[in-house]
Amino acid sequence: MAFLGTLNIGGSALSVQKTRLNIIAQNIANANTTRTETGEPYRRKIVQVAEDNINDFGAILQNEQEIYQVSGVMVEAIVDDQSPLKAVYNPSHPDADENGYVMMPNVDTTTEMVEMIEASRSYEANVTAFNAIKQMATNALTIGK
Amino acid sequence: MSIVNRNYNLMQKGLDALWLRQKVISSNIANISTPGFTASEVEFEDLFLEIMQSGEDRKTINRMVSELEPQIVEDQTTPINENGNNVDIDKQNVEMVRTTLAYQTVTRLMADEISREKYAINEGRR
Repeated sequence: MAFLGTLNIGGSALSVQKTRLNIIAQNIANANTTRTETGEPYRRKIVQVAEDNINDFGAILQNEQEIYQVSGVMVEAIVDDQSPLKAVYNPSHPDADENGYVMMPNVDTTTEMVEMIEASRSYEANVTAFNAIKQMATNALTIGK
Repeated sequence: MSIVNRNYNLMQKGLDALWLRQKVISSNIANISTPGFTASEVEFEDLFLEIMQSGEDRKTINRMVSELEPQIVEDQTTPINENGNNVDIDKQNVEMVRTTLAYQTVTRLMADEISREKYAINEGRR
């Protein structure tokens, strides 16, 4: 019985959702950053999530990973959003081009807010699932008491 | 008659199936934002009922039950959303609560059974 391995599934999701929230915070914080280290305006970052097969020790020991393949989740990559940057007319800005346009980051605050709500709700859902498993493990430990 | 109740094996099987179901639910919820993820579910009770209603003799049924294993199947009934993911959080939540309660019920049955056996061993003295 590998109840500790089961907790890893919920744990992996909590860490992924936290990474999403971090990246969203970074996007919002940089919504007006016209010059990054590369000299380019800031581009919105997207977190790519993917399934992650957790092979806990117990599963490997019993060689049952083929029968019961239950996956967690992981951050696959953090990529730049390649959608076009917004051009804003502001000739007095130091980063303005010869026509007076400044390229602003492609961060849409509304999208970020929606993503943020989604990520934090997912986080809550995973906390609930985690607690449910903890509750079941506690119940199992009281057998014979 | 054996003192030890033979239902222990059955209860243990039930607990293992419920644990596996909770694991699968946890995995579904963890992958709620994974593109292209298909939710899974655990079949057990229906398979058990099928055996019970198969009309075989007692011995065959006992053998079939002891060979019964929970099955993980992909959920093909829930509609897929725009990123190819079909995890329905409400469905998963309801299943999660149901599984927790069922698990509590079976652990309680097991604990009660054990305390009855202890009672018998102590000749009725607590």
